[in-house]
Amino acid sequence: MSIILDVQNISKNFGGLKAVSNLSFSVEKGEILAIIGPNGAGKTTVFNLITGFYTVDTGKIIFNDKDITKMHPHKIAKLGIRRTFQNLRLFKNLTVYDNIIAAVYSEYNYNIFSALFNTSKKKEINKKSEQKTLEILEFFNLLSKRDNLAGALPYGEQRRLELARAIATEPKLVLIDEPAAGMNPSEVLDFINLLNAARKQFNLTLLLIEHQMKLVMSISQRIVVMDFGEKIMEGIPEEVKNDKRVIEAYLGSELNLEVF
Amino acid sequence: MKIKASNLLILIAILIYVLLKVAIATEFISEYLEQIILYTIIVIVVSLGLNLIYGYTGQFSLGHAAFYGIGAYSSAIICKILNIEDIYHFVPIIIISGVVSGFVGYLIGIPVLRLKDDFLAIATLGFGVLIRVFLDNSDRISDLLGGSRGFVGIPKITNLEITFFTVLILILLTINLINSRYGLFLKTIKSDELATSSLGIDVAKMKLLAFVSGCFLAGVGGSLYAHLYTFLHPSNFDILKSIDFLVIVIIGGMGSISGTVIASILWVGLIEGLRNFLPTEWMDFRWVIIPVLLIITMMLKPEGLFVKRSVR
Repeated sequence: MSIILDVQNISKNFGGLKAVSNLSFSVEKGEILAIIGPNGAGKTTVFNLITGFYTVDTGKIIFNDKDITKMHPHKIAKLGIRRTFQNLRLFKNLTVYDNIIAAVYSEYNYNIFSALFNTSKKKEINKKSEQKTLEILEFFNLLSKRDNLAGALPYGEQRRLELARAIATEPKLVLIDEPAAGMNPSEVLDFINLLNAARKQFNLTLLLIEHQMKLVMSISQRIVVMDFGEKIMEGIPEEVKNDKRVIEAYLGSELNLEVF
Repeated sequence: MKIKASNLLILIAILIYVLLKVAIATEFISEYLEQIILYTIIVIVVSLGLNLIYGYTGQFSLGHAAFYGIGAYSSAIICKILNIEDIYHFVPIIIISGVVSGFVGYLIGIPVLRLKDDFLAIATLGFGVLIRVFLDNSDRISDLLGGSRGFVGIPKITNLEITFFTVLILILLTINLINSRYGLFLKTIKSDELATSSLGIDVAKMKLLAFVSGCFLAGVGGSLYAHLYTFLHPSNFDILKSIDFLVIVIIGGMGSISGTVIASILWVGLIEGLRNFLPTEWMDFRWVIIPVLLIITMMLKPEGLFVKRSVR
């Protein structure tokens, strides 16, 4: 297996706060790696560093043998890293269809001249994009909602739509930030199935932040545990589950053990 | 479906043109009224520019009239220097005026478009004031520009044909732009910049595209305006004028081309139409009606009069 993302000793401070300090891990092609840790451990900051929304203070991030440490977010996304956001960032006042086709268009290119003069290239690419969009909508079971405004969808479907938007261009790596936040147990189960199906269909490599242990334990192959910006351990779910440091740092007390 | 819609639009436009032409030929429409109609068409294209910048892309610009002015003054000075007085040589000048405005918009846009909302509004407002002051003192550069006395003796070239078809073509091109991937990116930027860049779209470039296109349209409008009224004064291009365009875009509906067209007609119609009905001492009352209309619009239909309601 080859390493697709290699995070090397990255640190990020916000004023005096060490959000991430000296963190290293790598993601292998085709795997699902989860990052867990208590609130404020710096998980989302790691996502923002990888996707270029923040710049790292020290350290390096290598994606597909390319140094992406100081790149702009849109350039990193163009290389094939897509993400979802912790508190959903859909284009709320656009339709479900437009949300997806915007992502598709980012890969299906024609120049401004074609745009202004409706060249045959524009028509051809529009047709291809439309087809691709419909395929994605169908796969994510959103076809019947295509003309609804994204902001008007129920919460679970908004989550699904955001995932669909991130996956629409079949990126090499998808970063998913707390997908199951606010979902009930049956929705979580559906989401696990969907994620597994999408992974097979689109050959995805996933990096996942999640609090719902059911989801993390059932889906991920490896887990990185963070606390106060540092990695406290890394391993397969079985190891993590029984590690004393993790239980102490992450769960706090034995009472919470039953969530596993 | 879309092709049919645009053909229908062209058909309606040509019909309107023929009607206008006949009405003017039979003197059903006076010369004064014709001038107002041409002015309305110019207002449409300038407002359309602002709609691209603000309505579609959400970049709050308070300096739109400055770009309108840059187009007007560029056109006037070029025609004056090159002694252009006929319509055929005027066509490239219109485009050049638009390009000059667009280029200035490009230079201003690179630093300014990094700002958001209120900060962008203040920066563009500042630019508007800068241009106003520059025009007021322009006679120090060349007497031709007239400074605060105004630019006089501009050849009258603008006629119905050139105005109508230039604006028609630009409206059609704008519709094409809006219905392309670029148009969608502009809407996604307005909706959520961060999410847009997470899709691999260069947000700064797209904002600049909208801004430069909008300034181009303003410049073209300015050029047509200069050779319609043959007189330019810096006060025609100050902050109050920018607000006029802003009001049109907001009343017509953010991100609606037909809304902009209708609101422009309504706006000029109200301002000029009331001139005939109001007694002289009440004339300034016209400038009260528009803000009142704006307030009522904001209360009853904040998304604009001619736009479908959407969730926020």
